Amino acid sequence: VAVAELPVGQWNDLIPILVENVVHVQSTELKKEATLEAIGYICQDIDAEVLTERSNQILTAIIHGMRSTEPSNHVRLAATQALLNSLEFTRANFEKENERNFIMEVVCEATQSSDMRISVAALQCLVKILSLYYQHMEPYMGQALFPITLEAMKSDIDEISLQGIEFWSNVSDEEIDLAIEEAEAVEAGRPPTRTSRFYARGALQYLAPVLMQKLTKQDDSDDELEWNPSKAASVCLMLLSNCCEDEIVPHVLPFINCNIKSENWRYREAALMAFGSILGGLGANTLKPLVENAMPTLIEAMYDSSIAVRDTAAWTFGRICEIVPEAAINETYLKPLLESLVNGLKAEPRVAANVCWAFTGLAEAAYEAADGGDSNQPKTYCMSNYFDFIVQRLLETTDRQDAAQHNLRSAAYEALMEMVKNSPSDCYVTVQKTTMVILERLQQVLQMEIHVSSQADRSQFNDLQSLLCATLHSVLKKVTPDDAPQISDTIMTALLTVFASNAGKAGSVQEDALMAVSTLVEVLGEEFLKYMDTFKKYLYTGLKNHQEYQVCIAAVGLTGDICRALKNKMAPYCDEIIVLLLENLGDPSIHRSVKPEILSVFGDIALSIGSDFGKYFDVVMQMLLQASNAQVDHNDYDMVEYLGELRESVLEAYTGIIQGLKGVGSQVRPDIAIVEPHVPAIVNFMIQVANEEDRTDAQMAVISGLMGDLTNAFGAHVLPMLDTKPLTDMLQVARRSRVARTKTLANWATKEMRRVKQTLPLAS
Amino acid sequence: FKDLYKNREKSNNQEERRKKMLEVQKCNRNATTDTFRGILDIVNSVDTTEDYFGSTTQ
Repeated sequence: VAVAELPVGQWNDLIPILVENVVHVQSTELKKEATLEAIGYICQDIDAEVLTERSNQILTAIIHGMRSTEPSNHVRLAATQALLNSLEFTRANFEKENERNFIMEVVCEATQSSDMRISVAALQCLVKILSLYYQHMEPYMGQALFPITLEAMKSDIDEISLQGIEFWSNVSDEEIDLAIEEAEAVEAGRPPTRTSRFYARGALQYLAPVLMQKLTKQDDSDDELEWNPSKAASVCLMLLSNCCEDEIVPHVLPFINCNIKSENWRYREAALMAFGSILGGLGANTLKPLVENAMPTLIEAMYDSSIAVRDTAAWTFGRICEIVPEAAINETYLKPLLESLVNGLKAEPRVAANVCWAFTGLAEAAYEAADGGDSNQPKTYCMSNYFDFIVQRLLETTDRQDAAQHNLRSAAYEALMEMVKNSPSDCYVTVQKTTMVILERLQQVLQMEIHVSSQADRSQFNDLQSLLCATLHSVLKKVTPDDAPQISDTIMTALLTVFASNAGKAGSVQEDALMAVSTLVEVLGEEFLKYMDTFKKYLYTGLKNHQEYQVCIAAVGLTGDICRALKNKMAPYCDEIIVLLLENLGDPSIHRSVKPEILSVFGDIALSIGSDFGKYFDVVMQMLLQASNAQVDHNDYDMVEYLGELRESVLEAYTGIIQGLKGVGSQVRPDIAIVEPHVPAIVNFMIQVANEEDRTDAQMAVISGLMGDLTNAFGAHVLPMLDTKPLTDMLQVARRSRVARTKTLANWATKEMRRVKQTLPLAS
Repeated sequence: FKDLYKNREKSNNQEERRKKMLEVQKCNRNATTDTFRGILDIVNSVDTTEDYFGSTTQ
């Protein structure tokens, strides 16, 4: 009730009543506990700003209940939990030194409670305080926070230990962000707004031994969902490595060397885990020799008697392939590594799933390392000799009886997709074979639908169809333009069957099937036209799927793809498509992320059908002008980001419309005249975006391109509007962009404006 | 931080596919408009373009 009433200015005496309940000497234990629980729930569920003005009163009640002099542990616990929920709106109290000191004292005192629940809740408060008020923590770190959290980490009670580890994971995470912020500030030539106090670096020598000790306390069971200090320690080491970089090596390497061959599997696994965890933060000069030296031992670990060791070894290879692939892809180790990984595909599902991940990274790294020459696709690469064999083993893995466990089926298909995507020309025969295998599987699966009975079966069946469509999407990208028409009928028939089936009603299946069609459209180009009459109803169904907005986005994106492929042959379908897109824009319940995609697609449609777009022009312009005026709360980061996307899409739409109506070449079609009355509004919008402090590089690119397009479409007539300080200043910045396209567009626009200007008669 | 443990953050493949698809569509859209402008080849060439038109349009 409070969460409903307080934000609208009702029940204003509630908070004073609750405070009185807690601080009144005659209040019973039960009354205090219940009141503090109520405060906790209110703080948890209400918008922080609603309570900001009442933070003093609320804190008074909470701190009163938390003090060590409070005789009831029930009351202390409820108060500590309430504090945890109130921390976000007590910023003003944390800004005042005396109030901050008092809060910190009470919280630190509560961490020492003999009641484990109070101690855990107080430690949770410290974790959150650190994240929210890092810049105020210096006076407390050495004296209190460091010893309290280090002792907590060492605790044999998992709940306490987890909070101690979480604290240092948060410190590392915060200091990684601060390092990034500082680098950005240096680059921009301004001082950083916040600075790191390097607590993680300072504490590293004390934290590392405790974390490694915790790594050896693995859970015996293989429960994926179980979160324990051993797993938390691995993540903490990962973050500490990213934060402290090479400095972590001397604190961890002795443990790894001592234990990697231990007789006890726990120590072998902990050593491997420590090794895999620290890779991400190390510099290239440290990393490469370290991994190269370890390769024989790591390969050996893939044949270990312990599942946990093999699992972590496979995961470590995944990390290596992602972070330092050159250490794995070399003449000495590639063959034994591939042998060990292929062998690992037959292991327990958790091991095999990590092996699949390693193949995913390996495929990408091997492809990148190959010499592509002048063409984009290399002729061969280091895995060419093994490619067919690996692909066959991955296909077998997707078919394993136990592939539903540990996400193995999905991981195997994902690896297959990456192998195919990153394959050189000399592996094309295998790509062709795989395409046919996937198609056959899709057809077989479709026939199995009648046997699906339970909900669990249905879910697995849908997942499988999604994965097959996704794999088809991946293999299709590699199919040559000569081969595509030969198999397109079979592919389209299979995909149409998917859309028509019950599984095709599931959002995830529909989305992957739409993405597969997108790739087919890209490969076939104008030849896709022959499928349009049959396919259009499924496209429209996707466009109407407001509930599952990801499906709707896929359908909108596919509409753009079809426009690019069919060009003016798209015209007969546009009446219906435009109506559906406008309906989507007018639906207040549709997910906001669909809207920018729709606006961009207006540009795609205009560009594809040219003059025929004239009949939609007024209604589309109305939508674009409306979207140009959208405003958001600038304190809401997500909304600011959304506004940026929306604006970029509006600009993309203007680009498509102007280009489409103007027509290709130097001749300007008369159709462009309908845009002319709107040019001042379009340019004003461009200026508005160009003037934004946080304009993006992509926005600068699209504005630059649009300046050139407007110049070409309207000639000298538009120059006085474009040749103004905000836009020319932006062009100047865009010409220095690090993004090649932005730079080129800015240079091109400048050139076009200059060219048109030179045609003007000289002023007397 | 639970998602950071082992490769769990990589488990949502459909999300990844979605992002890649949108990126591809954006690239294709850009390529179409740049083709229309007759500058696709320059855009696709290596980033060696200089600020060869000076700092102003004057």
